[in-house]
Amino acid sequence: MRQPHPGVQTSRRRFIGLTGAATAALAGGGLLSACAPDGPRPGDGGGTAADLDRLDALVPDHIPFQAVEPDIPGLHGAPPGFTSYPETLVRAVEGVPGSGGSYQAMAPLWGPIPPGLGRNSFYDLVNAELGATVDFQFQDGNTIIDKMNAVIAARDVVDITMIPDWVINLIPSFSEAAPQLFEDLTPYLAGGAVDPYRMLASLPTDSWKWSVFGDRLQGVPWPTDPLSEWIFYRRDLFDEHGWEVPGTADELFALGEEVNDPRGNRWAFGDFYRVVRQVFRAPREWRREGGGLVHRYETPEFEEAVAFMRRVYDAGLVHPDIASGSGANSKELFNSGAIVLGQDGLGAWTETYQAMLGQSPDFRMDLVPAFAHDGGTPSLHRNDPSNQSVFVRKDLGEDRVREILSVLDYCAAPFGTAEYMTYRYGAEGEHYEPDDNGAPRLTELGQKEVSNGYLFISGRNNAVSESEYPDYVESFTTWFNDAAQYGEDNPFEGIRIQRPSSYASAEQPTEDKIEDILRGRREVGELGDIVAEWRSDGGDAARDFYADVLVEYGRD
Amino acid sequence: MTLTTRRPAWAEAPTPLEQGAKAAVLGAILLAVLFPIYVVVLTSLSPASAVNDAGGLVVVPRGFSFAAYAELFAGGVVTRAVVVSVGVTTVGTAISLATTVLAAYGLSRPGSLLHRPLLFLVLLTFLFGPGMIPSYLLVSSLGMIDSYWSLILPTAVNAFNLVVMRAFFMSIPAEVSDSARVDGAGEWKILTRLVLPMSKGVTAVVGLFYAVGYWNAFFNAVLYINDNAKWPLQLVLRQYVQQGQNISAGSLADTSQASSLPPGLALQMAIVVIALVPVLAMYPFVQRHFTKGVIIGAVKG
Repeated sequence: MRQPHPGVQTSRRRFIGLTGAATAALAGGGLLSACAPDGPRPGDGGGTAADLDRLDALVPDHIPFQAVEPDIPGLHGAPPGFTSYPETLVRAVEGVPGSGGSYQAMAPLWGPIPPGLGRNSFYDLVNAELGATVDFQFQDGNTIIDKMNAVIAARDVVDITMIPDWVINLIPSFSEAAPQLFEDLTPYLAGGAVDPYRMLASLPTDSWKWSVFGDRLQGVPWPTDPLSEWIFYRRDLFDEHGWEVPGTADELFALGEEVNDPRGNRWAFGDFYRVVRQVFRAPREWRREGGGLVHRYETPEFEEAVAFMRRVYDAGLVHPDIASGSGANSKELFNSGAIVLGQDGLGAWTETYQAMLGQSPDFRMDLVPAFAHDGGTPSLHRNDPSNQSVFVRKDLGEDRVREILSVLDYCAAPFGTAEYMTYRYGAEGEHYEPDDNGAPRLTELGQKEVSNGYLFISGRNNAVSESEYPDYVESFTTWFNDAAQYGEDNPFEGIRIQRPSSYASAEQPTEDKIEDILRGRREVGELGDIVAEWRSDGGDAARDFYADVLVEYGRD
Repeated sequence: MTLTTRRPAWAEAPTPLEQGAKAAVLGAILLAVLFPIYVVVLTSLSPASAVNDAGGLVVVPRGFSFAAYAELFAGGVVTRAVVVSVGVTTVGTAISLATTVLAAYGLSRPGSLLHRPLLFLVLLTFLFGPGMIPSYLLVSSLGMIDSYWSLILPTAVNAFNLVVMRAFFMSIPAEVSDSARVDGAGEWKILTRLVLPMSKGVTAVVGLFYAVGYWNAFFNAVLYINDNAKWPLQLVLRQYVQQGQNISAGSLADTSQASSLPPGLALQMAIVVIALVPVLAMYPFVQRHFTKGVIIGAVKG
């Protein structure tokens, strides 16, 4: 096996020094990066450098599992849709997974801390089902990067540790630290060894590859959907006014002019610069061209996208609170109808329905079907295949590692299984009740005691299942099954890359300069100068680095 | 310095207009302070319907409800955190005051052993912090992870408070302690019988600084306390505010529809009240010392 940085032997002292430096860098506002999981990722991506063939040998065999036949099968990697909640639940795991062990688990939590072990009937229930005790140590989700930096530097990890990907990317030399702290799961899970853990075996192979660090399978992944964001529009307003959903950039612009009504406190757009880059087929990062690599900044597509966004801003089609960069909440503007189209993460759909349908039952939103600026074949940026990993502490001994893996296996049971309902919502009638649509609603006891702990210590295959929201499952799966086929051809697909630091640190200043162009503070013609600065500030060096990675993986 | 309350002989009596204007300005300032507190408290005590009708913060009372407080204290997590916070604040303030007074006294005596290098070390911490990871490593190697001591000992002595206190002690005339020494008093007696009683103001202020610091601290608990049952109040309350803010864990967690409804406004305001009340309640008792104590630091280094 060959490492991208063969000379780097990280001693403990050096490692601590590195983490300290990163902490200092973070102090200035690194927490904000939490809000931009799709933005630039400074720091170190883990730097695994196994050949892809080698990766194949490290990950579990894929054994599909289907609890319930989906009403709308997912195509091209899109999640399947379920238009109703299943009446009978499938038991996915035979027997009791655990054998009486007791384990501490660390995971971030965004929400109130539930009562602890011994005072929480939800924990008692799930732990009894597991046949093992999981004792959660929840971490403040917004400061988990600081906590993880400290815990990893001090080697104070607990038995089961969940670390989100954006945190892993910000921990310097994570891939060097991981083998010293966490159990190598390769012998337990690789190839046919995964057989006892059927739920884990059903997770997509690509997501497992993402959990390989330094030539070892280190964690259990959290499979993601292939796409992460696009343009939402207010379907209720479109229906009311008879507007047409756009299929080209010109149509989008014309629609914006038609919709825009500042006097009526209605603006056409929020910011959608990241999606517009995809509309104009600019690459997510690098593209292979003429035997070399071209960065998105250097492509004519990117320049067109910037020029288009500038036109949109110049025409006053973006809500002024967003155009002025005053940190306005675009979600709230969208919900209130002050913005009619805006970019958001795909999960925003159910979030918004949950918040809005109670007070305005006629509220509807939808995704603009995937399109390219000229009406041709779209080219969308694919998500990373996993966005968290669950690690097992090193040196627990084989029996305990196997027991933990059984617990994680139980918690990987997907939608439609009895296990899923139990670890996610507790006991029916006690912690949750099905509503008229069959959707689980937490009872008072459930709201007090149920948390996402068990959900977070494993990953599972995704499902679009929130059939309680009108047309949601049908609309979302229709959009996804169409859009998922247009994934961009990324030369680095599936490779976890440690970004060179000069490249990582050149990105934000460059984005800021481009932002100046969008907002009218600089001219589109200056883009060439900006990109030239980017090249000398680390862009060209990064190109060589990435070219080496391609050679190393035999993709040159 | 005492404020002159009586009008100087040459000044004329203020006209009703002037008095009215003053009253209006002072009233406006008072309102600017009290109104937000009023709105916060009222909203926290309003039923959900009143919050919905008002479309936000409640200004006109429309019914009272303790539902938000009941929800916060249900399950015992917040109650427990209050006990933790009160305990840490009380014990911590006591330890901090004791160490700060002793250190300040020692450093204020010109003849103390090594007092200059020691003072230099203290002042150095103004310029250089140890950094997060080294602090964590130290706390961890002392076995204080998950111990309440980790919330107290790393921040027990604050260089600023120490310097303020030392400055005050140095302003006490040497003759006072000299005369006590003639009467046979040792250093300990001088400190407890003479210096401390003369320094009630500064002690109260430094104590308040420490207490507020302990009460509001949350980041040390983020780092050092893994066991959620030992979390202090501020950290537990933060979790309520973050509800529904999952930004990274992917689509499934984003759609955890049943469990992560964003908190009601009433609940958020109840959190503000709970976090605010103890400091607010303590303030009037220390307040009269406050101006005096703060000025010490301003005019003497």
